[in-house]
Amino acid sequence: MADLTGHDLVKVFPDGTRALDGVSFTARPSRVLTLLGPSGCGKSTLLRVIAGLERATSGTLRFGEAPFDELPPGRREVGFVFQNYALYPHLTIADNLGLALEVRRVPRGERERRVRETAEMLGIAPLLGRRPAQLSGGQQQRVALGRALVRRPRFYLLDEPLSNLDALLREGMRAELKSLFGRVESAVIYVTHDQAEAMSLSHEVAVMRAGRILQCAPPLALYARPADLFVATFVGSPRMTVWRGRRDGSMLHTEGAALATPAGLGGGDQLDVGIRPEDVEVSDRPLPGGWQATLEVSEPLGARTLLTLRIGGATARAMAEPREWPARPWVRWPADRLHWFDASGRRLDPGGPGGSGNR
Amino acid sequence: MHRLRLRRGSGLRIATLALLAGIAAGCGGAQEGGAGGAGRVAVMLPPGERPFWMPLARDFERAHPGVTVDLIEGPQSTDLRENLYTASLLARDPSFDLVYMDVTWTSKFAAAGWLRPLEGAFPPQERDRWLPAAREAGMFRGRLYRVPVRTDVGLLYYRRDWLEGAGYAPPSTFDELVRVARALEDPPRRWGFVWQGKQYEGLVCDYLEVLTGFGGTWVDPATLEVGLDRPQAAAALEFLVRCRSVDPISPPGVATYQEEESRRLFQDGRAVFLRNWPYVWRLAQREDSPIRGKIGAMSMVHAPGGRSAGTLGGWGLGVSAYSRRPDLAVAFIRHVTTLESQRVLCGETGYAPALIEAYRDSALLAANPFLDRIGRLHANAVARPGIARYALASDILQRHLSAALAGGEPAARALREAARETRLMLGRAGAAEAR
Amino acid sequence: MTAPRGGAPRRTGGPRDRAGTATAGRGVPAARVLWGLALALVLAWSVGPAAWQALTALKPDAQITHVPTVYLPHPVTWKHVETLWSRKPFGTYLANSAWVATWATLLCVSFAALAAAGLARMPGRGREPLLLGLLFLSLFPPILLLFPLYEGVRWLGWINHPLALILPYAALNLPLAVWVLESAFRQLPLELDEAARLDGLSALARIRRIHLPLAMPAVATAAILVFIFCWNEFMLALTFMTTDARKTVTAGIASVSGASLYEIPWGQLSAAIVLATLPLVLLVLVFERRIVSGLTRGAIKG
Repeated sequence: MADLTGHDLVKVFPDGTRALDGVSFTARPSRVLTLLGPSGCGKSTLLRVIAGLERATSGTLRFGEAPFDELPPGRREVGFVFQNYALYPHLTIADNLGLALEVRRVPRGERERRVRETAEMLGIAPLLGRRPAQLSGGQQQRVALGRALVRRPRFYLLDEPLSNLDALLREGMRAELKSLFGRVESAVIYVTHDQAEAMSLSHEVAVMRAGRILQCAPPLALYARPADLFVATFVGSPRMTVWRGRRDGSMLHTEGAALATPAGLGGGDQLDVGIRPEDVEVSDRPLPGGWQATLEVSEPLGARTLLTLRIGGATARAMAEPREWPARPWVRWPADRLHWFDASGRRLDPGGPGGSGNR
Repeated sequence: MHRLRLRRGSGLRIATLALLAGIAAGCGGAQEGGAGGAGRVAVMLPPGERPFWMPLARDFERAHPGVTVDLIEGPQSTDLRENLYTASLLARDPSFDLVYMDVTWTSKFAAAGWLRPLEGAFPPQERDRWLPAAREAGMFRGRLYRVPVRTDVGLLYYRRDWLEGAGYAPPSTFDELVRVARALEDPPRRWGFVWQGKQYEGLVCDYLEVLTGFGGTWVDPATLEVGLDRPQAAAALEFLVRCRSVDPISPPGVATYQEEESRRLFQDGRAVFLRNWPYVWRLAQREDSPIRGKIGAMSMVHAPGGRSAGTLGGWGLGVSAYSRRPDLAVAFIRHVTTLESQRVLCGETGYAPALIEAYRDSALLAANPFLDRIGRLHANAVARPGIARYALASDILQRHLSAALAGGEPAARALREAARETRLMLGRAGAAEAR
Repeated sequence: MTAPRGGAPRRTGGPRDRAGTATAGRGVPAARVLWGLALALVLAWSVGPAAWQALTALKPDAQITHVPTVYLPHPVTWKHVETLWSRKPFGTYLANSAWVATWATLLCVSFAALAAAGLARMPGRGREPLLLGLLFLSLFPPILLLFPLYEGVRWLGWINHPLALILPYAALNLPLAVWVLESAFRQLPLELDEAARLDGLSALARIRRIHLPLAMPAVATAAILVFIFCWNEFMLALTFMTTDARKTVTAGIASVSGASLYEIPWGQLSAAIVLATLPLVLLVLVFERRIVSGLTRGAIKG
């Protein structure tokens, strides 16, 4: 199997909406590339362009070296899983799975064998004679996956496949998907707005916003070094706390506190600085180099307790030990855990611009 | 993509062709032989008459080897047959060589140029053998377009037994008719006078007889003069209204009657007088008829000093202007109007023939003794106006007659309006008509 | 009437209770009686003429026009049916009607499905004007087409050929069928179309394998409406079919004649009308079951 690449894809709809604004990506065999972003960011459009359900206004799609922009969807050899499954209500599960093979004139014997194998792999073999309406949501989901798998496509495209399942089912299915993806030899492109899915399933995550890919990186890199203020706040739960401040010499004055800017940090007079709640240290007693804060809200989450704190005029959130906290705890954070962004939202790194962003 | 579109398109086309081919194959052999047209004469007939024409057609085919006569069975309704002929002739369609026409169609078809003039084929001495009224009904603007085959004339039937039993002579005036009817009726068991009052052509026929009896006229085909707003016309309509509602000698339902409704009452012995056509006589004389041998027939009564009249009906043949074999068509007309053919056609059916000599023919008279009387009553025949737009004129008159009969609109006013509309209609068509 | 009363007295013991339920229950039977009355009226309204037709077909001639009216045939006579069958090739008429109507319906629904699938998935603002245009076309009185059609049919040599009826019938009913199918197709989820495209189904295959089966109730509705039109159509059939071997049943009925020019053979006509209507009623009953089963299948799905 070869790489699936998209180069500078632009999609402008007739009403003028620019759904894709120059997107390039590479999806590799046996690897999962997740398109993550809020609704309307263009991730589904990108998927549909790859599938051939929409035609890109410009740009190229290649499988290996061969462009396939001109191929109709039926000949792109994609396994597509729809958000609402889109099973054929009038056909049995076996026929739902087998239709694509039948169209491709796969002989009946082989067709039936492949349908059965796929069904067994997904644990839906006993359901082959039923119709979709007689299946539960989770079973329908498996059939939808099976319809993609049975074709042994050149790449898989999944459009928010878990979003119609309830929370419990979703988690189980997520794990199953992960093990399934581990076995396929084709590239998988997975669209979701759920960062937990993105983090857990992907080899690479591409965060999209307004028709662009802001950053494409392995999940942990994305978390550790967000290339962009939007990525920083979008990835990670609970969200990163961000303060805006004005630089005065080597100090950044925010509403809450004055922070020392590291040497060699680029950027202009106005900067944003962010700290993830899990990097904030909280204590009953004064911490050297720390601040005394006012506790506003305490939300026990079980393993940790999420605190909303007021530091001067600003609000910060912290993941603390799961216990009762006094009204005025002390907080501090290691300076190297701060994320710096310039006025345009680009990550600033001490010792020069750059980072892992590929924009 | 382009290649693919092409493929899809051709797929559609192939499917379409396959579908059509399927139909065509399924319909295989549907095309009629057609017979090449050369030796074929076709005419559309009412379905009930077709069996009686069959022997005539076979005779003709025997006399003209290689020729087939195609007697196409049309719908029962006269209007539908007229529509079919009209559609065919409008399309200059040669599939009907002959047009079997009601008297009232002649002027319309002739004015449209759909018929071939026939006076060359039927010289005056030949035409003189036909009943004069029927002969005249085949003429339009001085030329012959229709050869009469059988005729009809409006008659007034009466219960001879009841009139004689009560010491009445058959009435001759409208007042006498009302007086006798009133004296003998016993409504609702027995009515004085039944006729056709529904809004349709039959009502016009009935009215025309009464109108003529009062000395009035409808439309003069030569001058296009309209006589409907004259006092005679109003008097005629008032007589019909009087029969139904003033001196009720007719059942209230008469305003919905056609020929058969009125005949049934009369035949069941429930009416003294009946206005109808000659066909009633045969039915009344059947073995199982309760009025067998008890009736008489005459022409419609008249006003003092006026004349009796019977509306002329009947059917004849014209030759289509688009016929490919007008010679054969004329030959067939000549064949069905011989005395021998008239015997065949009228003997069994009881139709009144068109040939004058047929009324003196012993064979026909033996089959239908009433023929003699019809022949004499034919002298009173009055034709409906031979104008190209006769159907419109009739429609106008029907509407206003019916309004007066059923709705109580005063007769004079209804007829004034009818006259106005008729003049308007004729005026619009005036140029074409007067020519 | 017995049903609502059935449970109440068993539950309640005392006479007072019984009286209470009786008065309370009085409302229910009254409503029921009204309901039944309304139902009977509607039934009489719609079935009455058909029943009268059927009774007339079984009456001896004398009773048909007898005054006062004879309601029930006495004795029942099959004479009219027999006369009809012996004097006219009535079976041929029925077969011709079935043949013409079946092909016209197939043709019409097939082409309508193509148009409807295209229209239902048509992007942009063109769809509404096109549909309105179709509606406008369907308002055009078909009788005005009689003459041009006659010329065309004659030119093609199709007088007395079933195609002379099949093609115009299919064409005349296209707007109606397109409307019915388009609205049904438009309600099908777009994703099914896309899934089928990804599965490699061509446009035609999608209509055949996805659209039509899923829109079965609408297809059956369209087919029935078209079939009924074709079965009942008169003017074209009368004009284009002149031989007994080709006449459809409506044209055949028009040539049922009485003994004289003026006589209307009511008994035979009624028999003919009843015989011509029966197949249609049967067909609708069969299809109606299909429609209902299609609807319930949809309900389980929902």
